[in-house]
Amino acid sequence: MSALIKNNLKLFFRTKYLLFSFLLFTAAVNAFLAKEFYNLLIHNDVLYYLGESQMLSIVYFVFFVFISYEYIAKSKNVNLSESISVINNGKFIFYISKLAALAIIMLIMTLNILIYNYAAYFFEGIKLLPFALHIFLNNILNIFLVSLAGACIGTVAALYLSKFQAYLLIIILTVLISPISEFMPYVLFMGYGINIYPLMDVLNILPPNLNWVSEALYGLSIEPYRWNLVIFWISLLSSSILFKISNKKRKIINYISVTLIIISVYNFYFYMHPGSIVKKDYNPMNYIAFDELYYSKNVQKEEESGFAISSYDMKIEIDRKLENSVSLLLDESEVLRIYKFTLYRNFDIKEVRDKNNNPLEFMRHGDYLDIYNSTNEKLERIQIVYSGYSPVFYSNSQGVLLPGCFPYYPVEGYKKIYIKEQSSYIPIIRDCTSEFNLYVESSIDIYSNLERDGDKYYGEAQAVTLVGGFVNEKKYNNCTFYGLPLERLETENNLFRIDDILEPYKSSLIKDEDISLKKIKIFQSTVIFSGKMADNGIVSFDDHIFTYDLSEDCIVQGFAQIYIPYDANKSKIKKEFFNYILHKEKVRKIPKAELENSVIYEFRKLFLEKIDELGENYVMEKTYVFLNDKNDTRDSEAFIRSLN
Amino acid sequence: MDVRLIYYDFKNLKVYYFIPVLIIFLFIPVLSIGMVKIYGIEIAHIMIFREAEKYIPIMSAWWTTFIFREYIEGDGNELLYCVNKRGKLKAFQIVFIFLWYILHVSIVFLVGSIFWNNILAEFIKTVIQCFFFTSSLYMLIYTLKSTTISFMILLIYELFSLFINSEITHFISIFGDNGTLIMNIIGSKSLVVLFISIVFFVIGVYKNKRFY
Amino acid sequence: MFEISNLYKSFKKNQVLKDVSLSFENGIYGLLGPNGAGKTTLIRCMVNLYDINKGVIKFNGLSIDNNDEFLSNIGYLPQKFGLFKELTAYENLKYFCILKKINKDRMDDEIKDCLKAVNLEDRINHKVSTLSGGMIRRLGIAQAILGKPRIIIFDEPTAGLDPEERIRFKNILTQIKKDRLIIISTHIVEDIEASCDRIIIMNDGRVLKSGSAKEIKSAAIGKVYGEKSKLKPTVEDGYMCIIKRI
Repeated sequence: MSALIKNNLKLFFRTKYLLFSFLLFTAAVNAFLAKEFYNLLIHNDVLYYLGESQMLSIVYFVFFVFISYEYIAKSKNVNLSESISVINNGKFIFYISKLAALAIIMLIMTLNILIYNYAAYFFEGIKLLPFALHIFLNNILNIFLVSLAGACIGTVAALYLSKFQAYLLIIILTVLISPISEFMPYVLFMGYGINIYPLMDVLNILPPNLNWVSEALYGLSIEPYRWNLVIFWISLLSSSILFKISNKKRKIINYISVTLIIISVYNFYFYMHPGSIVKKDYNPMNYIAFDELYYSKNVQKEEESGFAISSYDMKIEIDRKLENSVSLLLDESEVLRIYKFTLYRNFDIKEVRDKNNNPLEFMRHGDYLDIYNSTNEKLERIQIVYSGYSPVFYSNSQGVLLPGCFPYYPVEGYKKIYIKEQSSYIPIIRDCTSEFNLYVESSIDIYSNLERDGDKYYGEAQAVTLVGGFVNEKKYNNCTFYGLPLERLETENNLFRIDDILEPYKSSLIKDEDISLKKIKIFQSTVIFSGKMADNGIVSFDDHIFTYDLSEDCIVQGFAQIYIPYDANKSKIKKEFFNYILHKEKVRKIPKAELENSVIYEFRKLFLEKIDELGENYVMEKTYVFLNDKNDTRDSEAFIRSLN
Repeated sequence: MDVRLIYYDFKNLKVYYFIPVLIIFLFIPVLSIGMVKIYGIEIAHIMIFREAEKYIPIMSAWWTTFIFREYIEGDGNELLYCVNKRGKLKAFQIVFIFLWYILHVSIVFLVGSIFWNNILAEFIKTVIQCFFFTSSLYMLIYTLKSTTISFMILLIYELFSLFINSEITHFISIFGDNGTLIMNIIGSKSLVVLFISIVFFVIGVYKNKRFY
Repeated sequence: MFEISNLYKSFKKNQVLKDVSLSFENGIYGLLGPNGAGKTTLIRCMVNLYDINKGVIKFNGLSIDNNDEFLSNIGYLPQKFGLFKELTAYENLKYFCILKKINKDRMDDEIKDCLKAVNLEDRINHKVSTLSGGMIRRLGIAQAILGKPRIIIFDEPTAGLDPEERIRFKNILTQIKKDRLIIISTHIVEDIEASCDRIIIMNDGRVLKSGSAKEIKSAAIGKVYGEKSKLKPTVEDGYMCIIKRI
């Protein structure tokens, strides 16, 4: 067999048009990778380089679909397959050796890209073993397996179809699978209400999200459902190939065919249950569109609960999605008929039980959960079992981004989650603390604002944040920083001198003079978090802060915000407030003409006019009081105009 | 060169003849109307042409690929080259198929001109792109002696140009940037593409002459 | 009528035809030789498919280059024939009529006559893809005889055909051979033995022998069965002796 494979390889490289296209293709790929490597010297973003290299999967797919078709069809055309069919297992060995030769070529070409990626990895000095594995898995999935799927398609077309039919099939499949047709289902859905995404997604074996900024915590998308899908196609097509080329009397080949069909069904089942994935495309069920469309209708509420949650006991399992069994200890002032909670709508409640383990009636309406108390006693304790995921705040075996300001566990009362005008999420920050006891089962290391003991997390806090993936924990003079090694911040060294940075603001903004840095953990915001959370992703709890940068401004704002309750209506004035404090000179330097005429500066103009009219100290003081006053429900415009 | 021969060339494609027709007269209009419904007629203009650019130029290679499969790989294709010396050169067929395709495309642009201005510039750009694909295909099929691989190279070229974000791909890409096309853009890039297409066509003629 | 003088043809550095000189008159000529002898190359030069490096091919005293009279008098059936499988037999032949510039008014009759000659008149409206291998080969013969050319060249006409089809081919030859030059290139010696007036043996790009069947057989006398043997050598024996230079 090895001699046959060797001969087939020789045959491949001696066929003029196959050799020419192989050389042309390899030259183009290497030119692209080399140029991008040169760019890497400038941007130093190894994850970006990985993403760029994986874009080649589409051309690899097309290349192998066509090449395998030509390679296999040639033998059919010269009636070679007929002559070898008389040899014992001749047809089987013949075609398997050809496919093996193609697989070797695929491996070589995959290795080509791997070499560049590892060169980038070592050049940038990343030293992150999970990322090295991530590079390997990406190339196996996106380059090798995708190419193999392409080769299977080409082979099936060559074996089963006539020339014209085969041409039509491979061209149409290539167009449907490639990004050429990515906009078409969106237009059909939004323009005509015809949803063909489920059909298109089954063909979507190429890596998603490559045209979006990569998520440094998560890496590139290699979730299990992608492996399931590509293995489904390879198994199904391989069984068709085996069926065609085998001598039907050979039982073992039939068993292998049947096994492959079973494998394909198994993988298809798991593909249909993907769970939490990060897929940024036009599909209204994916990523931000999922919430954007939902919240465009008036579905949100804001209501007090009438009780507080004094402790959370959670058993969280993160695999393809999040599964949580949570026990809530309630602090009720009186007996309530309905207990109102907010829990992101894509978490399905399996059961709700009381302290005696009796089932409780409940109703789910959007993001809200009502639990009914049919007794005359306080419930005291409620147990809720639920599972699900958010298309934006992911929780799976590849990465976890569950910030405490997102209701991935039940929060008391009805809270608004989304600001549709800004297309961003409202950080939900409770004004009380609870005792948290978590047990988290996950294949990746999870970091939290809580204290940790193995898989257990505990402590008293406003909320619990869980992050996992490409993140590392660093201590800077007692300050704990959870940074993203794939998106290193140049300003990280500021953490050595946090005290010095905060000192000038301790009297004005940072109320707690003895703010203990040991207590405050700092999480580096990811691209998704910064992009989708209001306030550009600087979110502050009393024990941890999310920030996208460690510049002095971000650190000051992050710490100052700890004391300012979040109110979406006040976000404009808050932005101008911090801008003025931190960048007064820059703000003042904006040319008057621009300030007068630009729509962007409309509110800033108003703010500066008040400062000029009433004095800086007065306006800043009043603004600070306004921001801190939960009872003052005016919006930013109403407040600033009312100043006199 | 007899046009009746091309009629039979097309007839031999049977139902596969209609694929570009369906794309041009059904798929593109459906896509366009959908985008107008989503974005409104003015904003949709740019998006429609951006989408159409993904399909129209590559489909210009469809008929040539399927017809020339007989000329390049058909059993007994020598007969198509030896009947007369002038008959060796298939450039006339290539040009005729290209013009026939452009005729179909022009109808769609004509309808588009009812709704938008500046259609002529887009049409010229599209014609030049189609000619690039046609002449490249002509050159490739007679060099590589395989219609499938030739089409594959064009498809990979399109994918590289449109979807792989790099300075190299921007440099070699014949596809336009977003935004409304104006005549001086035509002047700079499209003329270069036209020149390259003519060079490829000439190489195709040379290779065609030496096919047998 | 048809003359080849000092013909040389090479492909890059490979000299395929070396100093081939032949002369043809009306009749059936067989072109015999092993694989790689240069038969197909010679044929392709004769049908003006290849440009020749040296030498000249003449038809009625004039070079075949840009010779419309020659082009309207040549019919050729290549080794493989199976073009335009989605057209009917009629449309297929019409295609070749147009290619051969046969007068529009005569086309219909010409097609019907040719199909009748090859016994395919009942398949006139059937698609080529529905015809068997033998029928497709007959269709190929039909296109070769379209326009009643004076020279018809067949390259491996009976390869892959069953005995019935081969007999049919011989019958067709008998019908069309009058006042025509027919050249058959083949491996199958018995086809040549039965039909051909003269046999040309080629090897390694050269013509080794040209003569009647009797002359070819005589090359094997005393070399195969012994001079006193009652068994007489066949054309095949003579062919082998010539090829192996015995």
